[in-house]
Amino acid sequence: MLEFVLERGNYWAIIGLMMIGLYMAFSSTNLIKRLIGLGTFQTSIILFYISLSRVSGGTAPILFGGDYPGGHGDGHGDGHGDGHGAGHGAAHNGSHGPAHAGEQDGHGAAAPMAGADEHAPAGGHAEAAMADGDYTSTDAGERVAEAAGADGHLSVDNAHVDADHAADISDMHEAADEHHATELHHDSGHVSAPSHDDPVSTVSPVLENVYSNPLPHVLMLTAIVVGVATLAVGLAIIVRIREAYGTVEMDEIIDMDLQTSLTDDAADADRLSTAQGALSA
Amino acid sequence: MIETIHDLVPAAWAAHAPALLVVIPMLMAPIAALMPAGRIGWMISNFAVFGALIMAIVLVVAVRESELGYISYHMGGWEPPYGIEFRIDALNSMVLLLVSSIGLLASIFGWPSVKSEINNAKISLFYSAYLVCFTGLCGVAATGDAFNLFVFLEISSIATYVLVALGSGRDRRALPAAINYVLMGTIGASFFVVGVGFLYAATGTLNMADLAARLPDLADSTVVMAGYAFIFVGLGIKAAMFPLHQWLPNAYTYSPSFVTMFLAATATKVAIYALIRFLFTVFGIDFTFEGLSLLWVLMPMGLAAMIACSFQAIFQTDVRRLLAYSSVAQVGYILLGVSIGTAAGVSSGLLHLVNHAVIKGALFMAVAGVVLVHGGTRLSDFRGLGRRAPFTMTAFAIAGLSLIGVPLTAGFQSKYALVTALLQNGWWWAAIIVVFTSFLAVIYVGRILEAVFFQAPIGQAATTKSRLPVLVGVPLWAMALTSIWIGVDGGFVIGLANDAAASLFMGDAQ
Repeated sequence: MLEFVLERGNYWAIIGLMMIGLYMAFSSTNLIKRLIGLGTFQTSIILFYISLSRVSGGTAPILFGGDYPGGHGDGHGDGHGDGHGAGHGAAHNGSHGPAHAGEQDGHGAAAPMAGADEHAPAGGHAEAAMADGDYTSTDAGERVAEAAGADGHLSVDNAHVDADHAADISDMHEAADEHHATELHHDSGHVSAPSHDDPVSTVSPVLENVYSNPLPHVLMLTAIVVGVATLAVGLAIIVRIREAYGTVEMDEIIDMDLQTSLTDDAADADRLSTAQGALSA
Repeated sequence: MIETIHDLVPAAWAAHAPALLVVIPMLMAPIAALMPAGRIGWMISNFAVFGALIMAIVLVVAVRESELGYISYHMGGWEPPYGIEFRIDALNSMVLLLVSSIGLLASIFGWPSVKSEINNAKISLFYSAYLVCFTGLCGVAATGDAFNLFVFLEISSIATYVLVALGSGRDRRALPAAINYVLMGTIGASFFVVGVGFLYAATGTLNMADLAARLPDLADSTVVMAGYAFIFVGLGIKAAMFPLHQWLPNAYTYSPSFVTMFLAATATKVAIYALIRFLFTVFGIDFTFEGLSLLWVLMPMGLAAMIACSFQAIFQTDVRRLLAYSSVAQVGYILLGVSIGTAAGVSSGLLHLVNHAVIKGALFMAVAGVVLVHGGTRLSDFRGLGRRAPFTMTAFAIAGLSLIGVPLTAGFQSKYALVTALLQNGWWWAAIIVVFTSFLAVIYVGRILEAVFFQAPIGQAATTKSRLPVLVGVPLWAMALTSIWIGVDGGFVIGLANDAAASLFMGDAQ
C-alpha cells in the first residue's frame, strides 16, 4: 500500500495542488486570491501533463549525441515506452518498425542510459543501422504492434515522436549507404513530414538515448499561453472592478449589487404607484 | 438555393473551406483591431463573417455529396492522427451553418446597438474581439482534435470575457459578472483539458476519430472513466448544464445587448455540440449510455433545469435576466432530447438547439432594439411598448410564442419532435414535464407580453415614438420569420437535424 502511494508521488502532489487551487478559487472573497487559486489549479494541470510525458530514464526530447548527427544505436533497449512507438508506426504503415523488435534481441545489451559521452562513434552506429535493415520480417512488426496495443494503460505513448523520428531515420538510412556519416547531419532535418512513402526503406526508429515524450510539453506550452491570457484578462477586469466599486472583495461587491437591485426595485414600485395615482386621479 | 451558392464558389476555395471558415475571421480580427474608430471595423467584421457563412454553406453541401459522410481536412498536409484534422460531418456542418448565419445577422445588427453602448474609440477593438470569439466557436465546431478543441474553446471564451466586461459602460455589474464567468469558464476548460490528458494517457492519441477507434477496447479502464467525468463536467460548465449554470444569468443580463444576443444564440450551443460530440462520437453510445448509464445523469439534470429555471424565470423583473433563465431551461430540453439516446431523441435535441438559437437570437435582438430606442430592460420599461414600438414588439411576440411552442412556430416543431421521441421511448412522465414547463413558459413570456401590449406606459416617455434603425429591424424580422418558416415548413432544418443525428449513430456502428 505504502509503495503504491509512494510510487505515484507526483500524482499525489498534483492532486494536492489542484485541490488547493480549486479551494482558493471558490472560497476566497478576494478576487486577486481567486485568480491566484485559478493559476495554481492550472499549474497542477501542466504538471499532470508533464508527468504523463515522463519516460523513466528519459531526458529532454532534444536529439543529441549519436541521435543527432546521424547513425544510431539501440538506446531504447530498456523497453519502456518504445514499443508503443513502433506499434503505432506499424499500424499506419504495413511494415514499419520490424527491425525494432529484432534489434532488442540482438543489441539490447548496449542500451546506455542518457548521457552524451556514453555512446559509440557515429560511424559504428551507421553500420548498425544498415544491419538493422535486414530485419524486415513483418511478423516481428506485428508482434510489436500487438504488444503496444495490449498495453495501453496509463503508460506513456511515444507514438508521435517516434513516427517523426522514423522519417528522419529513414532518410539517414538511405544516406548511410554512402558512409558519409558527417554529411548526414545535413540530410536529417529535425522535423520531417511523417510520410511513409516506401515501406521497404523505412526502418523502425532506433534512438540511442531515451527521450521523454515531447507532445505533452508542446500541448502545455499552448496551455500556458492560454493560462497567461486568461490571467491577464482576469486581472484587467479586476482593475476595472476596483475602479468601479472601490474594492476587490467579492462579498462587498455582492452587497453593493444587492443594494443597487433593491433601489431599482423601489424606484420601479414608486413609478408604478405614482402612475396609478395619476390614473385614478 | 444553397447548392447554387456552393457552385458559385471556386473549387480551389471549396477544397479549403474547413480551414478558410476559421482562418478568414481569425486573420480579419487583428486587421479590425488596427482600424480607426468608426464604420470600418464593422464592415470588416461583416465581410469576415459573411465569408465564413459562404464556407459553411459550401461545407453543408459538400458533406451531403461526400461518399464517406464526412470531409477530412488535414491542417498543413500532416496526416491525421499526427497532424491536426478538421473533420466536418453532418452535425458539424449544421452547427457551423447555424453559428455563421447567426453571426452574420448579429454582426449586421451590431452597428447601431454597439455604437450606442460602447465607447466610440473602442468599437474597432470590440469587433476584433467579436471576430476572435467567432473564430473560436467555428474552430470548436470544425476541429477533429481533442486538444485543438480546448484551444479554440479558450480562444472564444477569453474573447467572450472581454465582450461581457465591456457592458460595464452601461451597468457596472457587468464586471463582477465577467470575473465570475472567467473563474467558472476557466475551471470548466481546465477540467476538460484534464480529461483530455487522461484520454491521452490511456490511448496515446488526441485525434477524435482515432480516440473513438481505440476507446472501445479500454471501456473498463478507470483512466478513461475519469477522463470521461472530467470532460463531461468541463463541457457542462461551458454549456450551462443545470447545476453548473450560475455564471450565465448575470453574464447575459449585464453584457452589451449585442453580446447577449450573440452568446445566447451560439456560445452555449457550440458547447453543447462539443458535449454531444464527445458523448456520441468519441466515447460512443455504448460506453455513454450502457457502460456508465449516463442516462440517469443527463435526463434528471435536463428535467431539473426545465422545471427550476422556468420557475426562476417567472419571478424575474428584468427581461434579459428572465430570458437568461429561460435559456438554461431550454438547454434542459436539448439535454433531455440527447439523453434519450435514440436517433429520434438526438434529432429532436439538435432541432431544438437550432430553433432555440433562432428564437433566443430574435428575442434578445428585440430587447437590444428596445434598449437602443427606449432604454431600459426592466419589465416596467416594457410597459406599453406595443403601441410605441409595434414593429419591434410584433417580432418579439412571434419569437416569444415560438419559445412557448405555439403551433406554426419553430418551438412547436422541436417540442413536438421531443415529445414524440419521449413517448416512443415510453417516457410519458418526461413528456408531461415538457408540457408542464411549456405552461411555465406561457407564464413568463406572458408576463412580458402583458406588459408590452396590455399595460399603460409609465411616465413621460410614453409620448416619444422613435423609429427602430433598419439595421436592427431587418435582422430581427429575418430571425422572427425564420422561426415561422421552420414552424410551417421545417423540412430543411429537420432534415439537417436528422442527418446530424444519423451521422452520430452511423459513426458508432462503424
